[in-house]
Amino acid sequence: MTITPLHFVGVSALLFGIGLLVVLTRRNAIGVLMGIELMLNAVNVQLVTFDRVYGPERLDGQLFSLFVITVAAAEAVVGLALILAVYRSRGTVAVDDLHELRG
Amino acid sequence: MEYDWLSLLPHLILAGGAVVLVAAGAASRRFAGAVAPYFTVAVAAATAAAALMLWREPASSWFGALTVDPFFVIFAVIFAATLALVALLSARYAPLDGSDRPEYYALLIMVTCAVTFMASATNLVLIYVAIEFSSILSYILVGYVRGDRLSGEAGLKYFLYGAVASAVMLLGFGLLYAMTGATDLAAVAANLPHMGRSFETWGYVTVVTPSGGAAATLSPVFIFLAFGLILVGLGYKISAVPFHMWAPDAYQGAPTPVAAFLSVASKASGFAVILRLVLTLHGALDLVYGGWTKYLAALAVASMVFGVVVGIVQTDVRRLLAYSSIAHAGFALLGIVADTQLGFASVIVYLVLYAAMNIGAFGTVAVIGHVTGGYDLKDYAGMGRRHPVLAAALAVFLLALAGIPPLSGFFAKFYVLAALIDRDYIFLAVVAILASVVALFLYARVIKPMYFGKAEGEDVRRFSPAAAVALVICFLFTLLLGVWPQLLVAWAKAAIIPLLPRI
Repeated sequence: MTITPLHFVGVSALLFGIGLLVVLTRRNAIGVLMGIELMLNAVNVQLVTFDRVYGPERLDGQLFSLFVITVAAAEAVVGLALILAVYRSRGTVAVDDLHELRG
Repeated sequence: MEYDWLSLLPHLILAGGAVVLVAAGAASRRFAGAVAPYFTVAVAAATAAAALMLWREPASSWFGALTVDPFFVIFAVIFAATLALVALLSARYAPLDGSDRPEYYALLIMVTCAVTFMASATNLVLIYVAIEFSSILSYILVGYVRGDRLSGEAGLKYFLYGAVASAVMLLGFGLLYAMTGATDLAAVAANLPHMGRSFETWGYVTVVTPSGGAAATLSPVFIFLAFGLILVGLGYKISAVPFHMWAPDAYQGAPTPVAAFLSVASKASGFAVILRLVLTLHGALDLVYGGWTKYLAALAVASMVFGVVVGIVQTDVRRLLAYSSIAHAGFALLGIVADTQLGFASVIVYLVLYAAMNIGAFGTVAVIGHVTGGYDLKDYAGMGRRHPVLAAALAVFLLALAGIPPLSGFFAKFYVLAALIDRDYIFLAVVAILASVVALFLYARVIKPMYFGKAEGEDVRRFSPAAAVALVICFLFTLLLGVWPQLLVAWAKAAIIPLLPRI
């Protein structure tokens, strides 16, 4: 069997799906954050795959994935800071417990 | 290739201003905290001036990654004005006491820098980075009030919704790249209509072949999927239904001046990206099954109807204004649905007029909250006697948001409706008018207790002169632009015409 870009697209879609599932089912905010990271990395797999498809003289895909990695790191920093702030004021990081704001 | 550094000046002033403020905060907290709001206003004024200087210059492009053109100038001026007004409103705002002040203003300047990048970005990478840049800073600002349970909860909720929406949008960008091999919007637009590269190909392929084979049967699905996924992220940014869930929570929990910023600048930046994508990728969008305007129209109608209907039952004024801003996002989207020069221009006109009246409304709510400590409809009872000026100002802003004729909100809606009727979209126009009529009830729910309720409670604080200046500016804009909107329409058209697709 030859490995084609379609297989990588499949892996990427699978990772993205798992990430989305984690986001939707996890109660713990840190778990949700991990799911989000998985979704971003799934897109990275896709980006570097097609970077190879489109040839060595263009590096748009790899460049894009480097930016995504950087953004994901920044997002994780701010996300964890917010989770910590909520934990300090309530002693819990369960997403279901965030229900004081409603109308 | 010669680069015109002057064209980057608006971005550079904002980035530099934020750095200077952080450094000043590290050197002397007391001094930096005291001058920060006024320094922010100065940075905003310099940014607006630098942007306006570029109005008559030819559009300049930086590696195709960002384009500085009249379209960018209009948005940069909206963002700079929003920054100045929000800084003035935050100057003495009590709920922020105890949180770090210089850094708060530095973050405000930075998030303005991020949204100006969203207005100039013409490359998928930069668009993604700019959107995330503005979102990540917004999460911090929403959760900024130290030790406040609601602010923290709002920040975390906004973060969780936002991070998921932007990851989904990133997958859409990734698909666009996969199909075209380009991240530059112009190249994406050129390659997308005849994407012929088979997903079976492996190795180094440098020639784009015309469509045929397996990829051709896949392509409509993938184009549809890519734009659908991107719409999730952008719909979240403009808080259109069904991607709006964060808005009421974030607006209620955030410091109210930040809510004003989110509901105006953040939303306008989302519209800037949508307009750029639609105008640049117009040819590719036509490949979307059944016509892309249909899907935007569905989003717009859902936002308008849902916004006003759910808004009516709210009891917290900030939540009520959040639902009103959801309805306004739907109304402005209709301008894009019209898909004509007037339609696109009407969106820009709408955003400018909406900015003045909505900052006014949120600003008055912030000032009333500061003075009386209350944000509930009950706390507004008898406000007409307790604070006649504030009550009258809020009433004017709310009537403007409702679209009552002599005020600017009427013209905002008028041009969108004119564009719709031009295209014979009578059904959409009728729905929009009906939604506006129902919206009047929404705003009347705030106005009625102010004038027909019994005054209760004591003032806890006096309001700051800085906030009063901001409200007066919003008030003048809301009145004057309602009388004299032609100039604004001419500007909006001048910004749109160079971007219109050649059909």
